[in-house]
Amino acid sequence: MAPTGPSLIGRRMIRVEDGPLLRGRGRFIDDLDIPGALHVAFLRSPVAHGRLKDIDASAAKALPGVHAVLSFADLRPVLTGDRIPQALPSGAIRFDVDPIVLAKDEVTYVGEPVAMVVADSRRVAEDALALIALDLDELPAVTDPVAGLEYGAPKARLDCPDNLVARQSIDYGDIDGAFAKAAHRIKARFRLHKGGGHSIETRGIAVRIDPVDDTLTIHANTQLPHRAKQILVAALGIGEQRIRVVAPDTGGGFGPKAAFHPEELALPAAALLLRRPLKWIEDRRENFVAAVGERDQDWDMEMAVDAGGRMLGLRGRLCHDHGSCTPYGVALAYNAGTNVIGPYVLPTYRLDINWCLTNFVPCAPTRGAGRPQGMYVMERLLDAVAETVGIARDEVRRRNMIQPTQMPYATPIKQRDGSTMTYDSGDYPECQRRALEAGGWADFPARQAAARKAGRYIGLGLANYVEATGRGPFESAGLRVGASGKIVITTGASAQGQGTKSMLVQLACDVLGVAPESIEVIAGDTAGIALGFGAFASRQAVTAGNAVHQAAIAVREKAIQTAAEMMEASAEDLELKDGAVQVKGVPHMKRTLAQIAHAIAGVPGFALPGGVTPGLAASIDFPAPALTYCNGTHICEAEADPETGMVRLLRYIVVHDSGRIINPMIVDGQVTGAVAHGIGATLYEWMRFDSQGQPQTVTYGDYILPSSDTVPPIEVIHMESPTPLNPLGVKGAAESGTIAAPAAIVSAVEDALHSFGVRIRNLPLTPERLLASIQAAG
Amino acid sequence: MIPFDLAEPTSLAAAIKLLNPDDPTIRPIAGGTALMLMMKSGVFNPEKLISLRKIEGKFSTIAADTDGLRIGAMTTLGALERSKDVPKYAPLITRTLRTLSNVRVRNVATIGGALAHGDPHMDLPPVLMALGATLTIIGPGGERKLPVEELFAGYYETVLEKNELISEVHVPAQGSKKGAYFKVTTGSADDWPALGVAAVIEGDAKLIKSLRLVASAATDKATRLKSAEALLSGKTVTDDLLRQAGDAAIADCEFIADVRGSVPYKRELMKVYVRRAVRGAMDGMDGAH
Repeated sequence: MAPTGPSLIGRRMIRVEDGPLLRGRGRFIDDLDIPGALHVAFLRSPVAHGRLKDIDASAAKALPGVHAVLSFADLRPVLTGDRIPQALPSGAIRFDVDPIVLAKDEVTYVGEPVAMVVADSRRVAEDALALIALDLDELPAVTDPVAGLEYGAPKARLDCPDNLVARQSIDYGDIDGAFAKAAHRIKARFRLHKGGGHSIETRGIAVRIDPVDDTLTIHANTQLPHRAKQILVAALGIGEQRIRVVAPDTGGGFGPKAAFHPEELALPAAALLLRRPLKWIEDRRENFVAAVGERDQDWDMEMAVDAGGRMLGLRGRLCHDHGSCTPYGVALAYNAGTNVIGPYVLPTYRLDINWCLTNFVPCAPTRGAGRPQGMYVMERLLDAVAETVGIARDEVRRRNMIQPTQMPYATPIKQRDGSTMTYDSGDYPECQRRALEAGGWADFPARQAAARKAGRYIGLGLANYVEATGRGPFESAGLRVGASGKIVITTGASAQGQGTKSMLVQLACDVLGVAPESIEVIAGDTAGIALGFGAFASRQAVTAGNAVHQAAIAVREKAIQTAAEMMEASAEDLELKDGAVQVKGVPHMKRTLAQIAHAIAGVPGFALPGGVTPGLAASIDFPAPALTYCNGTHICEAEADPETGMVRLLRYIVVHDSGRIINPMIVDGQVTGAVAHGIGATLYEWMRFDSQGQPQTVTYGDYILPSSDTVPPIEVIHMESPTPLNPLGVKGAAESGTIAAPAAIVSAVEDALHSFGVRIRNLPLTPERLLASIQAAG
Repeated sequence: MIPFDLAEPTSLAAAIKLLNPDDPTIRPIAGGTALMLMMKSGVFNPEKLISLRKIEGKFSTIAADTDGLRIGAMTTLGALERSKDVPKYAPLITRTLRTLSNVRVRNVATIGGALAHGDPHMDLPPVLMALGATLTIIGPGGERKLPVEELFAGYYETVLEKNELISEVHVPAQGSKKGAYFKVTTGSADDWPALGVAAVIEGDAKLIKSLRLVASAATDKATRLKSAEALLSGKTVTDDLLRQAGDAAIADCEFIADVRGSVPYKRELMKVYVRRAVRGAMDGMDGAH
């Protein structure tokens, strides 16, 4: 039965999260008052690589207020193994370097947790840190993913024979033949840095131990509560029924909070040992040195094209800085490699991906997850092709683009699970056309020439992208109408500020015709629903959205069927409207959802109406067997100062197609925020280390985030190509804005400085680097 | 942050008595915007802070006459920014304050603290030096006068004794002189500068009669660019002359490298911004970035 009234899908509904958050009624980890909690501070490795010989904590233990100082040896008895069981299998991994809870006999990055102090207050705990003596023999550090793979390089870990921790390749088509017949070959090397997640709320964990129930409740601002629980069950060797992981309000995720960090095991293990509740809030410096993020990739590439600028082949190698252990599998560089093709036809391709162990905090995906780097490589090479062949930058893209008539388009690329990467829908040429029109592409040369006469160097950049969204295998949702009429949605999805709860409420309201206030969403609580995943890979609207949508439809059908029995009417004559099932056209003849729920909650000794099953509820695990691909085009206008290398962004336009849109306001926010992340990654954010692996940028005075004066107004234009892969036709939107930003901005800067012949390869593009490029070109 | 004792004397004389030149763990605190950051990050761990917040109110006032401005050392940068007298006598200061840090810091930080901190990235030292400002400094033995230009001894170092406090800043009236301060940031506008250049020029549309040029941030301390000044004084300004001045300025400076730029890059910035600051002053522009 079709929903009554106009659909709510596509409406700019106010987010249900905003009221409480704007009134200061959010409940973040540090707001949780855990009675009797002791506070934890971590002693972290001061060196990038060293042999850990001894930890002398006697003075720290003697400090008044200190309850315990724990090392690996102290925690090991409550653990099932030495390493944290990550269970992310990949045949590409050569060495098992799962992380460790606290350093055992070797430290492998600055910031690695070595010992933990448990004290009455954080202040006392930090004072005690200063009293712990570490006996360390410093070892040579690996601080470069290219040098680290050369013969004779020092070892980043003593337990691995070399630094090549994983190796992958993408290889299809006759690459040698393609290069043999090429009219032009273009070689380029890229050193691409991407920074951390930098959520406004740092990580935090509070552990409650309940001696009555014999349970352990872990409050953590993780993106993946169910996965955290799974790891804790395995690492602590205790039953699922005794562990609950719950994520409260969370101030941003952006990737790093999806990885399971050592502290997430250290606190529960220590709570079990000490039988006390514990709390740890990461400080900002810890977030810089100990939270995972992205770092460096070195791409050495060559492209073959025909005389008309059509791609024939691409080959090269990618060295990826992996850090010192594997908290999140080997997806990041593979994503980068597979995403190179973007919206284009690439007939042959060979990429060797070498993952190098380094003495840095482990790398794990941040917003975009490698795709910004892959797309950057493709788009920079296409600009170079345009220059070489002598055609316009938009034309070279048009000539290579996958056409809408080719949809669904099976690329020659295999995904991580061996399946074929298949683009489901979209109109890439039309998307680019709209963006060029909105950006004033055709008129720009005249504007550029006029600006040049006034002594200004402005340029317009262009970049396209495709993003795989809605990663499976599934997401869970339960929807239950209580006898009070209140509707509770439980889901394995988790919320860090994306508006996930609002999105789910909007979908449920659309089907059930109820007010948003009557719905409560419990997300990110393993006690709410048995199975689930959470927030990663721009997936929750696709997976949890469809799960809630289907659950709501099931509840609606059941409500109508039950009401038909109760009212002795035919189901065809009934409709669900304003929270009640009514006879069509006779609004006073109705049963409210509350009445229906009450009726089928059951009364002892009486049968349920018409033999319906108990409870006005439905549970759906929505399977997402295939990824759905969103796409878009970015146009950026930038001004460069050739004397200083400084860049200012003047305009930014995004045409974005994430299929059917549930709430355009939320998608606008996602795209805008993601572009800001991309601007940061392109121009400002640089986590720097010295040659010994010591971090150099551990405050926001030294690590520059994009801000209101550096992010121009961003115009977002929506295109909607619904995917056939799910009933709602939706695709993910959260990361896409980051993906094309580096390529679009750099294209604009090269265009602005075209008269200098500037070639920009490396990221971030600091003024100093740009000035060096200008001087090198001149 | 480790615990510390806090004293809040009610007079400048009493504050000075609490300071001890031989005890580096005792330290005066004015606005505290910089000091608190250093203490939170563990860079500096004083055992006793002598707060100047409750000393006599006269040290927070701004007096103006034809001689210029007399600014009490405890005057907040926000009060300085909003003062109606400052733009009359030294408009360059008012303009500079608009780009200095942010409104929250300006409402708390003081002019005396900004000088005594000795941080080469601060915006006011080069501006006050270019304007020819002098300080009144009070110690146990009485008061002395010192040009701001002579205050800085090196990176975060001043010539102040540990028991001396700045009580007043005297800024001569800018009069017909034209000024500009160029704050050069390589990140966002809120970033610390990679370079600051202040220029105060006496002259007409083309000819420079005399000038003071001061650089900061790229250098270990706020530094007068005397070679560049010598080249430009008494000359008619041309692009070629300004290029020579930019090159000459480099010889006057001790550059420091940081995440905002290497020494070679900061040298390049200096060449460009000496030119832009002189042009900017003559054209009556701030050129704040």
